Amino acid sequence: MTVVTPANPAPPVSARRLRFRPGIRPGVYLAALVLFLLVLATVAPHLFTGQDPLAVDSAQTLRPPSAEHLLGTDENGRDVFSRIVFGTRTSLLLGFGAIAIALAGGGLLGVAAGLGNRFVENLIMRFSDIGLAFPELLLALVVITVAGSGTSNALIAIGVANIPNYARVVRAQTLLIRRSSYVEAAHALGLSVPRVVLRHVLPNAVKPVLILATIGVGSALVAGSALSFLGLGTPPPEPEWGSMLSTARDFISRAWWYGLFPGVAITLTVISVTVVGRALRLRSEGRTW
Amino acid sequence: MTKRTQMTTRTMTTRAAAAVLGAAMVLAGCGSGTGTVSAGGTTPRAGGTLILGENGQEPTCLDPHGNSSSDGPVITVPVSDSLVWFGADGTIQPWLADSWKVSPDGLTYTFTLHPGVKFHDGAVWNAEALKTNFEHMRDPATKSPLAAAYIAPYKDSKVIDENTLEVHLSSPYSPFLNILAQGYLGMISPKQIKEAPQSICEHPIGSGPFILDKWTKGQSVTYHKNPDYNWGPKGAKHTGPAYLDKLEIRFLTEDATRYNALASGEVNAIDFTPPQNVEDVKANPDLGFVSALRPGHPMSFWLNTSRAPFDDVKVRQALLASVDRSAIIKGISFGQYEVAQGFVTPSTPDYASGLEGKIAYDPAKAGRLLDEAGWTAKDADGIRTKDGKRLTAYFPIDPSFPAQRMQIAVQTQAAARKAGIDIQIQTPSTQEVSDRSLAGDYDLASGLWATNTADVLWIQYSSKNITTDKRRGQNVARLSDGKLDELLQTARETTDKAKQTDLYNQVQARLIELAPAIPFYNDPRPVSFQKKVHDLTLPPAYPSPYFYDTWLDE
Amino acid sequence: MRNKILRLVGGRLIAGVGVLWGAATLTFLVLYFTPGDQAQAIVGGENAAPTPEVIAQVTAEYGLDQPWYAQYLSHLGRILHGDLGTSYRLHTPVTQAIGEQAGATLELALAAAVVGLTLSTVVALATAKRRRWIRGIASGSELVIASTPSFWLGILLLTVFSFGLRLFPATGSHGLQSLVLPALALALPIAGVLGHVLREALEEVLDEPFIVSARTRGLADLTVRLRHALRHALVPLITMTGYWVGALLGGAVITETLFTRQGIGRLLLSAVNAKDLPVVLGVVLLSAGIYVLLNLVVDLLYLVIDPRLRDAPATARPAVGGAS
Repeated sequence: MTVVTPANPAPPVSARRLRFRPGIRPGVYLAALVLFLLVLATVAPHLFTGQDPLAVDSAQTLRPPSAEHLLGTDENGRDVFSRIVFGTRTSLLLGFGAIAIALAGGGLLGVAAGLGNRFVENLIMRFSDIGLAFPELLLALVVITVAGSGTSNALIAIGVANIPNYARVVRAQTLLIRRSSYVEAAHALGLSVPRVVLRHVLPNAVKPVLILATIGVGSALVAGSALSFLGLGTPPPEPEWGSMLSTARDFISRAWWYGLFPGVAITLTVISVTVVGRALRLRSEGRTW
Repeated sequence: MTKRTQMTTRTMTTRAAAAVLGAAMVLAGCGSGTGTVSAGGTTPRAGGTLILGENGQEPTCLDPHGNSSSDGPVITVPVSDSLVWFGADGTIQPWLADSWKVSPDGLTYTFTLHPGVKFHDGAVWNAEALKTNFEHMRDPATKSPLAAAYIAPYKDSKVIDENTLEVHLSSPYSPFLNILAQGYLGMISPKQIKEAPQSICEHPIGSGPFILDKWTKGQSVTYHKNPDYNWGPKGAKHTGPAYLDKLEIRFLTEDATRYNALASGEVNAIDFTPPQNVEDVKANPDLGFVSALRPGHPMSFWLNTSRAPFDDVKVRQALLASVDRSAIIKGISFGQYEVAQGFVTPSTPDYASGLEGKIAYDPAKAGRLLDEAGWTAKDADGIRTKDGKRLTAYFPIDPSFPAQRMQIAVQTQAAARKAGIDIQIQTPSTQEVSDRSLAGDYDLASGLWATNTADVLWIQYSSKNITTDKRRGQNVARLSDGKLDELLQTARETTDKAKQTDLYNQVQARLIELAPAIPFYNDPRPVSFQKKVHDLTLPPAYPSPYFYDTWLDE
Repeated sequence: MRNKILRLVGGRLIAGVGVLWGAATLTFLVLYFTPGDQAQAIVGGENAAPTPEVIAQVTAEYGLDQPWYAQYLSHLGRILHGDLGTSYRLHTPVTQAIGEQAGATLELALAAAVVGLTLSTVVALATAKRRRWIRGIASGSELVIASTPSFWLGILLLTVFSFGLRLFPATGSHGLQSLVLPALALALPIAGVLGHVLREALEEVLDEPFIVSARTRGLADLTVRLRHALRHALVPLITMTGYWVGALLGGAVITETLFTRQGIGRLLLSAVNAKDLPVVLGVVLLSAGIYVLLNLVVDLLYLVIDPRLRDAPATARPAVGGAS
């Protein structure tokens, strides 16, 4: 499910050895283009389709692709293409939103652990140990049990589930920078700790972590649609790719289009995010690592 | 019989044809239904294993008295026999009781039990055993979600002799015998109840034609034949032990998976045939199909009449008139379900067929009613408003409910919107839906109630059954209507059949005026099977696959 | 040497107990403060109409009227005795409920692990340092497969191989045949990720001087890859144990639901929906226990695979799934 594992974003062994060459450069541009279109669909879905994703037509249920309905209709006679287009917003929101939460929470804890005293560091690291002991989806299920289902709760659930990972990465990064010569020099010059953190540690820690997060977005997006697939994410009638697939499987013998295209949308999105993220990582490794 | 049995398209069996009296059992498809002998083998032969694919509503407890799942009886009836049998014509017939007498005041029932019946653990069936079962249903430790409520008027009973038990009720309760025929009130070994009550959930011991071998949770229940069985119900086709050597019920939650398991021969039969596959089954020469309408309350959306906006009967009537139920039901069931015409299904005793067609799709009327109710203005979204408030109704739906419920909800939402009613669908967790239902925090709620008596209307609409802090009731619409209450109470207490029928007719007419729910479809129990499977029947008391007469032509 | 291993094992065990205690506490607090009437949940169901006596009985029996700390302490106490409580929904001991399902999930996870590890290793061995187009195809398909959500992959596999070609049964836990599709759906996305990591590691190792010298000694390419390179390339795979075992457990929830298999994943999902606190708590503890155990095994494996680490200070060892 995960594309590049946030649980192991930079294994010390392989990180140094990463020499992934993105097969062909045009691939990266293509991925960036897809990503651009997805963002466009998020901001202005009406540019892609004139159909209302919620328009129910009891007489037009499960119709195959046609000129009127490019990708056919669903069990309520709604246009599958427009539901995919309008579903982009929810899916991207899940991916990016969850990672933003993980970054914020993990960043805070990670920096605190990296700069704090032994007690603080131990407390935070043991806490994240406990968090790491559960698979992402399991932790998300626990959060959903508490908070209930729904898009925002699914987003929070996945975000929270990823906090321990990012806390660890950020801490490692912080320790690295803290021990670097320029920070020690700044400290020797008499600069206060918070100042050093703000001026030197954060900016230097942010970039590699952000790049990792780009790749994490893909896996968060898949996790989010998985929750919707299990009926715990976005509630109907809002369009969302995972919940579309969940319903589609009941009608798979009558409507192949319904079970195919939302899946293509998820996979294509994750591929694009991953390819762009990897390319960014390669560039940054060439320069800073 | 014409309109309500559209599903009877092919061979109508003699018994189904005779069932016009009210409790119709609708059979469709060729091959084996009750009472027919199909081509191929003429005489039943013993032996073989039957595997049934059941849907995913696996009970959490196999004690017949301890579950309320719609999959309960299919699993427990092979093991546990009932006191009486409910015939397709609505009559009560002997089973573990040979005969019974009801006192004129309806308060005392004297049962004479069938002698010679033995439970699988050797315990003897007698008056004491029946008494023990009644007490087990009532015992709070059983945590009975259904059986206890069904026999709520039960007071106590007295053993007259070995095979005679006198049962006393606290108030007259005419459906008593009807509900005793349901699998939820099947008889369990008194020895097990007394010595190991905690084992009943896991491994119930009854006197039935099959002995439970193993319940593998999340997967299957397996049984083998009870060779000593010689007390089948009079409504069955044969006597003596069952034909099948072994029986397996597998839980196949996914609709597509269940149907394909039958099509590929992984299982011999499936319950709850997905409506999208019924045409495929009927077109397949290797498969047979049988279906029965479940008696009781049709699948409906109840409207919370205790708070705005549905406390106004005109708004409720408007919603009913704004929804084209036929189009929705035709679409979601691929033409397989029939639209409900009232508040009980046609297979329920005392169904008022004269009222058919009274609930009609009429958008103009819906608009008129809303205007009359004062919802005259419209906001930018086209939703009606009154005193600045939007006409909004909240509909929490359990995400684990069948997909069709959500489809109906979404399409109803679209129809209501056209009339200017804003239905907000919400999908909180199963637990939260249950909590909100207890607290009355909803405007619409979906469900059905299968039971073989029109007393279902008392369960659903008597003001006594509105949930309070003290008691959880099933009046989901929270309807409180004095006239209706009186009719329902009199009907449940009277012992005069003709009077009862008249009362229930009045009840059904009154309900159409009150519009406490949108009745959608008469819930069928569609079962498909390989052609080699014969006489897989659906008992009218609570239609679910019954394997006593079933045999394999191999 | 032995002392060191003992100290390592002991330290890990203590840390593990800490993790388990933390897990128990966390989930208890979290689930305790979840809104919802538990007594109703216990006798719930769409058709449930329990009497007040039944509700009172349930409340007393499950200690739901006790204050939170009493419930918490009695929970910890029972866990220490290996008693995870009684399921609200199933009315059976949680250990029994999990035990009944564990076999099926273990079977699925093992099959998927074997398929996933074998597939990624074979593909990586066959394609590392090969011609550009071969590597391109391999990394391209890894990318696509790793980006495919397992629930959609499952739907596709079902549609093609079960409903369409009728090669494999769609459902259940009945023998090897019914294991094929779920194991594939669970294993493929993981294999995509692992294959990618493994190939990168292999390509790195194949550039090392000792490989070059092995080749100059006239060893065949396959021998070099299998005997010399693979061993070193396996280190990142072991480092990632936490990830792929977690992915297997999490993926089981979806795979078991989709293929209607019995197992812990489905048990958990229905428990989450029904707010069956003891079962959720039990599964969470189980998963934490597996994690702790794996940490230990991985630490020991490092010693076996990479002898150099035996002399390294304990803190230098990478933790499972961690970047520290």
